Amino acid sequence: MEAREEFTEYAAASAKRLRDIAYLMCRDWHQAQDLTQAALAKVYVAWPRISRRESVDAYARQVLLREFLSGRRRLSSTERPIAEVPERVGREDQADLRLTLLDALATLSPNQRAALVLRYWEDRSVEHVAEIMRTSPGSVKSLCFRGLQVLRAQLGTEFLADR
Amino acid sequence: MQEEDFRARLDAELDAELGPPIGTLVAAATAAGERRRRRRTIVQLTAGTAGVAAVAVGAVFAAGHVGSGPGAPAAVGPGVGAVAAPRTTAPPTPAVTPTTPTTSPATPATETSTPLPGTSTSGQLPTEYESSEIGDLPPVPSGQARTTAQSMLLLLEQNVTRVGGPGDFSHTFGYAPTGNPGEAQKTMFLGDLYWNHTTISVSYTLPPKKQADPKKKVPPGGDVFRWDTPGVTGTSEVKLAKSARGVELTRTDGSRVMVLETNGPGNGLAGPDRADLPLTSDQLLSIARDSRWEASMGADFVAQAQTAIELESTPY
Repeated sequence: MEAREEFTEYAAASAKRLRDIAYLMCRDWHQAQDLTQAALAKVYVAWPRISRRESVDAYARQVLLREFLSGRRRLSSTERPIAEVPERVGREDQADLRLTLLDALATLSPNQRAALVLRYWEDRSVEHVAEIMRTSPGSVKSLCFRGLQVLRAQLGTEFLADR
Repeated sequence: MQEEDFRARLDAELDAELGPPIGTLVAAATAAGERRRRRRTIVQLTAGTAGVAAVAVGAVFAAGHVGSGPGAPAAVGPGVGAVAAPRTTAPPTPAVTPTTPTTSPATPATETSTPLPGTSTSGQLPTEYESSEIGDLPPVPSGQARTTAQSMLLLLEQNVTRVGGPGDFSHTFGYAPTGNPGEAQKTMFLGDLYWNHTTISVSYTLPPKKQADPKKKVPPGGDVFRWDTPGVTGTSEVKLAKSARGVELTRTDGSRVMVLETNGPGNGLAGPDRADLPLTSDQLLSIARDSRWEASMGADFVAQAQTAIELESTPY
C-alpha cells in the first residue's frame, strides 16, 4: 500500500512532464498519452526495485524512450486512429507557414530528437543522457551536434547559434 | 545560452499546442502495471510449476514403474501441465481428474529424487505453498486448514454470488508469490475467477514482519485504495484489457486483500467481451472485507473447496 501510494504520488507529479517528453518525441498527443501510460505501468512493476534509488526519473525516461523507439519499430506504430480531428487553438497567428521548432524536431531521426530533448529541454548532462539512451557520451554529443545542424539548416543559421 | 533558447522556444510552442488533459492516465497506468505484474507472476508461476509438474509426473511414473509395471497409467493433478480446457461453466467435479500424460517424462525420475516443496509422490500437485516457498506462514489454528487455491476461489465465488448474483463460473489455477522484491515472500494465492465473461481475481498478502510505521497507522476498518479505468485504450500492453477496476484493502494488521476485475482480451480468454464492468467498486470492497481471507481457513471449507472447485490450466 505504501509503495503504491508512493508510486501514485510520483506518477501524478511526473505524468505531465513525461507526456510532454513523449509528445516532443512523437508529435502526437494520443500516442504520447499511450507511451506515458505504458512507461508508467512498467515503472509501477519495477517500483519496489527502483523506488529506493535516486534514479527513478532516469529509469522512467529510459522506459519511455524505449517504448517510443520500439513502438516505431513495430508495425502497429503506423496506426494512427483518430476519433476526431484535433483543433489547433491559438495557432492563427502563425498561419504564415513559419516552421516551428516542433515541426523541425519532427524531421530529425528518433535518436537525434531524443538526444536533443533530453539534453537541452530536460537540461540533462551528456553523461546522464548517455545513461538514459544506453549509449556513450560521444554518441550523445554526435547526435546533438548533427541534430542541431539539421535544425539550423531548417530554422536559419541564427537559430541556436553559438555565442 | 543555446540551451536556454532551445528550452524557452520549445516551452512556448508546447504551451501553444494545448494537449489534452491528463485525465485518468495515472489510474490507467497503475491498473496496467498491476495487470502486468500479475501476468508476470503467472508467467513465473507457469515456468515454476512446469518444473513441479515434471517432478510430480516423473515421481508418479517412477512409482508406477515400481508398483504397477511400466504400462500403468499415471495420474497427475488438475490444471498445471494440462492442455488448457475450453472455458465452460465448471460443474462441481472432483478436484483431481486423472489424466494420462501424452508425453514420456522428460525429467529422469528416480526413487531418490527429492520432491519440490508442496509436491508429493502421489501425483497430487500442490494445492498450497509450503513455508519454505512463501516465507513464514502463520501456524494453522485448530479446526482450520491451510488456505488453498481452491478455497480462495470458492470463497471468491461465494462472495461474487453474494454481491453480484449467480452466473457462469470457471476457475483458473493461479497462486504464487509475486516475484517482486519485498513481496516475493508475502503474497499468496492469486486466483482467477471467470464470471459472466469478466475476470475477477483476488490476492491476499500476509502482514509485514516488520513493525509498521506508527505514523502510517491503518485506520479502523482498514485503508482502502481504489482504481477504476473504464474504457482503457491504447497501444501494446495497455490494450490488453478494455477496462479494469480494483480495490485494495489494507487491514489494521497490515495484511492486504486486493480484488480486481477486468474485461477484454487482457483476461486471456477467447470469446465474447463485454464493455462494462459488472461489479461496482463498493461491491469489490465488500468482497475484500470478508474476514475469511487469511492464510488458513475452516478445515471443512477447505475440504469442500477441494471437491467443489475444478481448476483449469492458466490461459496466460
